[in-house]
Amino acid sequence: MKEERFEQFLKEALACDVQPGDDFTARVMDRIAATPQELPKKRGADKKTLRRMMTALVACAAIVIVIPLGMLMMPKGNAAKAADCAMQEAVTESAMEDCADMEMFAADDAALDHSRNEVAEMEAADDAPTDGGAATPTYNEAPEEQMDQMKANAALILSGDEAAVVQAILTEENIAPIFTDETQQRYLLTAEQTAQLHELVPELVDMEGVLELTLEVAQ
Amino acid sequence: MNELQLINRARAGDGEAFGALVEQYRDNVYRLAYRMCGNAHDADEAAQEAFVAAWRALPNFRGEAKFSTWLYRLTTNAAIDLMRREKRHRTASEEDVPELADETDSPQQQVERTEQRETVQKALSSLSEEYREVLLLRYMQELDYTEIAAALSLPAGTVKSRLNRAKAALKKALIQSGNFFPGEAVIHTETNGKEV
Repeated sequence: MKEERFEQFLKEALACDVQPGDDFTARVMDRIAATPQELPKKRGADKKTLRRMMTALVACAAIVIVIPLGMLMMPKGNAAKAADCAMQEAVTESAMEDCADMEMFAADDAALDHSRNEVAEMEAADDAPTDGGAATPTYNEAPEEQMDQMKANAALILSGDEAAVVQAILTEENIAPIFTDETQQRYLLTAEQTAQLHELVPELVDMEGVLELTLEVAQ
Repeated sequence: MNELQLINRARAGDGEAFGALVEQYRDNVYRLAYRMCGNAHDADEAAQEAFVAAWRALPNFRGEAKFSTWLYRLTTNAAIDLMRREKRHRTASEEDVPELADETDSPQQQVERTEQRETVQKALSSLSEEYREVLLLRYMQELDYTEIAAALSLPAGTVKSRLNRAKAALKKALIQSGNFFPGEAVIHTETNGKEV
């Protein structure tokens, strides 16, 4: 038998004409009159939520303790780079935990307060590795020029003629700015776009990921 | 007063509002219980239990599922509890209230339809409670997979696979009953030998 025909057959065969007795509602109401309702439950943090919170706290503790220790054990040249990556991961994980917890507590003010406390704790914990890292000689002794280059890879500001040239190229390439005002234009460039631009503008450093490029050009 | 208002008032302890909800759902709840239990006596008891459970738990009904879906879940639970507690899992018998066939049918059609329903009820009663529950929610109450998943607190994928297994089991039970021929989609009634 075809599936649809069998399903149709089931619907027809399961259709039911029976009815409860005339006094059914009255009997139910009699029982209800003698039955108290449950008290509304306060929806605090359940076991699952508590487990999540504990996991988040353990993760924060691990960040505070393990990262500085790990950096102490690393070769000096890699320490600053590793610290930066680890910090980014930690911040992302914390933000994801926050989002999940905020959704779960959305309907409950008390729990929401709890979540806010947790956010505060996490923020405090997020700050901690920076301090801890700064306290370790490895972190502080990273070459200054290397640190500068890492920052430049994430964002670059050009001005004057140079900026005007780059702006013209970007316009030709149909790359639109993400932000424009009277004094500047800001672009988000993919690694591929940056590499293309690098051939024409040596100032751009070859890099992986997204580059935020700000051109200070008066409109 | 609409259903939401009735629910909110009943949740706050208004018995009259809850009475209106009972009136609204009594037939559906009773019929679901009837199909689950297989007889009128147990169906009546299970349906009452379901409404009492709903009244008791209403202050904690969060409205994440539809009220009807929640109520059907309470009904199947009440029916399962009753059958387990009293070990009275019976199939339809002489003492049960016979189902009424559609009055627009001819007398012969009425007999055939009654036979067909009894055959399916017997086959249904031979299935496990889990299979019966999911089949009834789908083909009797016509809930979709998501609603069934919400009612039974199961993932939608589990509902789908359980429903497929339940259908296969029911088909097998119908074939074994000797009145069902899958190739022709008919049930042969024993009284007159005509196909339905």
